[in-house]
Amino acid sequence: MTRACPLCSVESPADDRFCEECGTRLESPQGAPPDCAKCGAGAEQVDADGYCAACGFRRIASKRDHFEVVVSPSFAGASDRGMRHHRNEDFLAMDTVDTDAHVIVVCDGVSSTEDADRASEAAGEAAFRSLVQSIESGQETRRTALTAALAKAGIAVAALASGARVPATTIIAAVARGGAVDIAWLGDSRAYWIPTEGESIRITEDHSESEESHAITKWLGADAPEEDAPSLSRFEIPGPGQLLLCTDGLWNYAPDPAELARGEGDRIDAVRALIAFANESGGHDNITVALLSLAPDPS
Amino acid sequence: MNQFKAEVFQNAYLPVGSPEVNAIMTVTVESALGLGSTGDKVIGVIFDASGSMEGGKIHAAKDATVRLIWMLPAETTFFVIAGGEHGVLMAPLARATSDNKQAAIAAIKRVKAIGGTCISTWLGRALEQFSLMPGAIRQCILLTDGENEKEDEPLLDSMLNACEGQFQCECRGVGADWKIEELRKISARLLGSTDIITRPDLIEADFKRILEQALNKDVSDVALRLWTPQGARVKFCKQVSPDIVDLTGRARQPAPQLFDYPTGAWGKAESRDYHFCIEVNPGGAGDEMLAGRASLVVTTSGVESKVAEARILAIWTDDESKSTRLDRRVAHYTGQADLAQSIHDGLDAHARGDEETATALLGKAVRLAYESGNEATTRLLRRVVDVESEEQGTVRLKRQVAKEDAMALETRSTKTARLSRP
Repeated sequence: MTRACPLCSVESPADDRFCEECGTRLESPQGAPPDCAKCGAGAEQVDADGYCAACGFRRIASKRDHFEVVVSPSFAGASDRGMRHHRNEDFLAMDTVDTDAHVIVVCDGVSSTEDADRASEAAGEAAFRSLVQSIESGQETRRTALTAALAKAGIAVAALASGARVPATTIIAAVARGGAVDIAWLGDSRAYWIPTEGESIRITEDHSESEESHAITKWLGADAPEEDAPSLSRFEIPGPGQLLLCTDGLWNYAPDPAELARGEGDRIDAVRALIAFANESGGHDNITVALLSLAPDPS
Repeated sequence: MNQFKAEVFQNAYLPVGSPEVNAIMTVTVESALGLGSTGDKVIGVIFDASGSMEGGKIHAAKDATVRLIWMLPAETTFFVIAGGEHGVLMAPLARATSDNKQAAIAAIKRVKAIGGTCISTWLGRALEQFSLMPGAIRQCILLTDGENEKEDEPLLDSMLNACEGQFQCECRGVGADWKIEELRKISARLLGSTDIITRPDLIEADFKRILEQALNKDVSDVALRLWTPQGARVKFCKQVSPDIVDLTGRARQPAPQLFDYPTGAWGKAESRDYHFCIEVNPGGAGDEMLAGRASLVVTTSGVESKVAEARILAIWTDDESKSTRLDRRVAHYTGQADLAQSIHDGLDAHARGDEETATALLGKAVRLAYESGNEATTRLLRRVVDVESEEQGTVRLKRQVAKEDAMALETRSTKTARLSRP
């Protein structure tokens, strides 16, 4: 059994509370595009202070709707609510640690669960903190550090579950240092390599039933299958170029990775250009992008 | 024209997942002349003239009614009913002119105490008279000393349905042979209070007080309108000051999501507090909701006007330092309701002969009254129990408790103290 979303017409499983495609509440009455993000009531129902006359909830502009992280001119990222979702359920954390270790964590809360925004934030923060600590202590291999970080993120998300509310999220974490990038992930948030010269390539393989379905087969959350270990990958940097991490809010609109290249200059400008591109293409989902310029290890 | 003021006190922050929103709303009238009433005031007096009143009580009731009539300002309108097996109209609705007063007094003097007590017929007569002046402030006083006849009970229930919203009624029981629950049922439906007059010679002073209050009213038929979000449930809506009146089951629903609770007439410089408890669909961290919008609605010749409005909010947060704080007014009135309930249950246990429960509950009441500074209730409690420590709530039941004292405690236990300024 499925039902069609009143806003975007995409079919969702009948027991999903929100449309996976655009985040609209599925119990909402059919008809005009809803304006209340919570109950789907029309724009005329929302008062001047943003309160909905049907369900009472208020639409609040959140700091999380759009945020940017600029570590350096060659390392920047941003996360954006997009055009259709009522809140940003993606999360992004990134920094350069120990002078030359670049850490990036990107999470995409699963929209069909409640508290998806809290899930991605809890997972992203836990994984990021864990990676920074591991690198600063210098006692683990990068693979071990990544495995530990995702395990901690999993615990943080599972702790949010209560009763029927089981929030879930995807996660992708990368550590770039000394000519190689180590990546661990669960779900369909992706990593790409965009060389200065030559063809862009995708580094990760989605955990999903098929390229088109968006039905992910692995995730973080209390209901995640226990035996599902994250995928791990090491990528040796072949020449000058950029590492790109993103959620499906971006790659949905770029079936060909070549479309992700945005030239030289400050990376934050390229990040903004990519988010604008996704929004102009429809902005159906939250959009998160991180870009890091890299070169092969000279040694 | 907006002389009503409404203000909400609450801690809007709730722990994530919590559905219950509590708020106290204070409504104050600064001056309300000319709103919602024609300016006319009708005072109806019903005094019990059944056989049980014979002797000092009927004399005192008649005297008090006569004195009250003399006190009426010339611009008011009044009528008098003597209650027995039937309600007998001793003085029909008339302006309080000197001639009309004298005619009424002459009629009252002829009343003899005889027969049974059928309160439904008394109220029926009063309803006929009040309905002659629908736009006026309509205040009734009902004085009785005994129980209503059993056969009259079903009739009384349907009569109350007919009278609801048509006039307000203050009920007074003289002596100790009347039933609190019975008069409370009437006064609650007709937006008045029930009180005991322990001795006949105190009737006059009490009537005077009721009259003064009624004459002070100048806005009639005010409704407290509560809007709630879809899927919400009003757990309770209570007036909590000056006394506790549960309005929860009294709402009309003019539209989905709207509840109109009757509040009757309001006087100049009057102030009342209301406690709302609303159950909503809980939000996630950071979600904010309009959990209720409370307004006062005055209806003048069929036209509604909203005279004050206040918002009840809910904001869900993970921050326990925010969500665990209890608003001091909400805490205070929750305590006052607990105090009234402890007294009611304690006296109930006492009547059943369960001294242990009675001692525990009345002790708790002494402590709650002490903590909230409700001195009037403390005084009433001290007539029923010997207090060892107010702070600890340790008490002993008095060996001899006058029935009047227990009844005074019970009827007045719903009087609340107001929160003193911090």
